[in-house]
Amino acid sequence: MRCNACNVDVGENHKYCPLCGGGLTDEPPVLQGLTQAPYPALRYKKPKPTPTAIFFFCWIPLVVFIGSQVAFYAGSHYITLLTASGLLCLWTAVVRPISKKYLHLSNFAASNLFTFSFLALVSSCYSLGFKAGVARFAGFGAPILLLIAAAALFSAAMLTRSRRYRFVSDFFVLLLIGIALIIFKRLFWDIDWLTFMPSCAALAALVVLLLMNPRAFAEELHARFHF
Amino acid sequence: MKKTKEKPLRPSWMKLDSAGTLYPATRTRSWNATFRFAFLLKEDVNPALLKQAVDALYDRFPWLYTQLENGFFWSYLRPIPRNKNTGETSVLVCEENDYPCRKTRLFHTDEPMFRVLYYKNRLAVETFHAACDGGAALEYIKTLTAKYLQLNGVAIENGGELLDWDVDPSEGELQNSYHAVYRKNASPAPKKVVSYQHRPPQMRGYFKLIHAIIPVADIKAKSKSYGISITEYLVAVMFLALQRIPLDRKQRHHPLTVRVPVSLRGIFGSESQRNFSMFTHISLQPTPIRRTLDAIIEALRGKLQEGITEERMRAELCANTGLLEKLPVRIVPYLLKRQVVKRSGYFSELTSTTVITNLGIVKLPKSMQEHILRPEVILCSTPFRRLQTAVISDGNIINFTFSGDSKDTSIAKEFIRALSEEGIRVRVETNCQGEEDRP
Repeated sequence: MRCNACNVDVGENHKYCPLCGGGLTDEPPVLQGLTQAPYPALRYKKPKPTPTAIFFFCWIPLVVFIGSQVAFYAGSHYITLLTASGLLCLWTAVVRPISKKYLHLSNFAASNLFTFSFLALVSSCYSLGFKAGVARFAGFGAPILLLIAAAALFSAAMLTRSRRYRFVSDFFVLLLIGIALIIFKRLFWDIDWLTFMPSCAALAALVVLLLMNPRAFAEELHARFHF
Repeated sequence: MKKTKEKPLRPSWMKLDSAGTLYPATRTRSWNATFRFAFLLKEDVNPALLKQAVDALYDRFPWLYTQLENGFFWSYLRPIPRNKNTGETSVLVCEENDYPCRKTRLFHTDEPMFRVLYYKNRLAVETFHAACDGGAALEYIKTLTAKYLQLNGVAIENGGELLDWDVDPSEGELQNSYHAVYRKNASPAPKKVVSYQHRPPQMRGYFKLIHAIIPVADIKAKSKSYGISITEYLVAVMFLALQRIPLDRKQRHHPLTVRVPVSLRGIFGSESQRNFSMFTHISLQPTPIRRTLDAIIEALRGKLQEGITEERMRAELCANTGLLEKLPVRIVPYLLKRQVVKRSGYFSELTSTTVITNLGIVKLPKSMQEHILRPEVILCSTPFRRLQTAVISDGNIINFTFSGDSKDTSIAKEFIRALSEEGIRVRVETNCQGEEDRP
């Protein structure tokens, strides 16, 4: 087959010229002995637009959390913890699996425990005035949340052997947050034993990993923090 | 098996090379820089043997069997796992059922940054650019095809035109050659300007290929008659085609620019099998009266040769990668650095109208040539550039491929018509043959 307008040979299977879209003549090709390259027959389907409903659904736990804190906080850190834990479970059990199909929508910030901690701080400040909210959160809420995070990470590290050392950077972040918490409480409040717990837990986890395989630990650290 | 006694180079992680840092940063939700190399074989591909061949090359290409991970200051490469008992890897080997150059899966997966596809007699490898450049990916597909043919019972001599798959990779193959070439006191690179942008309507999720198959003898004779190389001739014809399409009046002050990637391995004597290439830009200011091909060739004469000298390439390389070497840049967290790298990558795309990648002649052992019909190379379109072109040859024919996510064929049509007018025989093939694909 040939397109005389473009003056080119066209493969045997074409119905029109791929260049100009015009009709073809049945003339013999100028270039002989070339095999037609096969391609799967595809029909173009316009991709579905990003499902905004799912996108908003991803943020529902956060909105509910902030809302509940603002409306019902009333000075109780138990409500903060209960709501945060409940929503975290909801996120892990329902939202994350749904949004996994749309990987980019499962925003890191939305699924992060520390975000919940931060929001707890903000909402408690909003409800009871800056000093009271900060004090309650820093004194009890934040260390407990960080401890839960440390325990969860450590269990995950021990259970998945192949990825054990990938948690090293997370423990470092936990350690840094714990230290920041200690400094913060030292500046504005008295330090109690609970404040030290997250840092101690993160440090202990790091030491355990270091003792288990020092080389893997060092390599992981170098990989994550090379500059 | 002639295994070297040296310690195998399989670190638990690898740094990205200097060019490789750009590609993870410029990715978007629906796109990343993925390109394809393919061989059309004489017989249909056997998937089981292909999977075996892919797994067998795990130790030979450690830089390729990796996945990206996010670090605090930079992304880095982590080797994908392999089953110790069966030797199976998690490389995706599957039948092609979509358009070429789809987005590669990155981060949080055990799949590497490439996939192996087959369809009837086509064997294709699609690679994310952070792993390696075209030259290195071509070496991989050559070795993979050789291994596959060997498993299929064909006697292939190891080494020679191919990488020896029985030895461990050398340090030179793994090195970041940009570091070796970088000089602090290199001469400054020429300033880039925003060029004319050809932006036909984009169709998300669509990918149109137009292969122009041209006999080498025809094009060689023509370029010889003008006293220029084949690449220079093709660039000149591309300018002619760009001149013939109706240009956007708002952009009439912008020059037409063709970007030509250059492999630096030959220039700096490197054997790196990772990214080691740079671009040279060839510009031409559009004039109210269209130039003839002779006038274009005269205007361009020597420009390409000037652009690929060692000094010029070093200047370009130092300008592009020099900033990444500076301490204040290195200590900035990747989260922030990525935004800057991304935008500089996008700006760099605006400095060219289109790209012509010439991979040259694929050299294969004779025993392999008998089983291969022709090679193919396909570049994906980018968020800013709808049309990309790539050239590859097996010594008898040149496969000039236009690819992009638009139905528009105006440049391809003008380019091929210009070749036909020159008396060059052309055969055209496409992957989109339905009525809805009609231009």
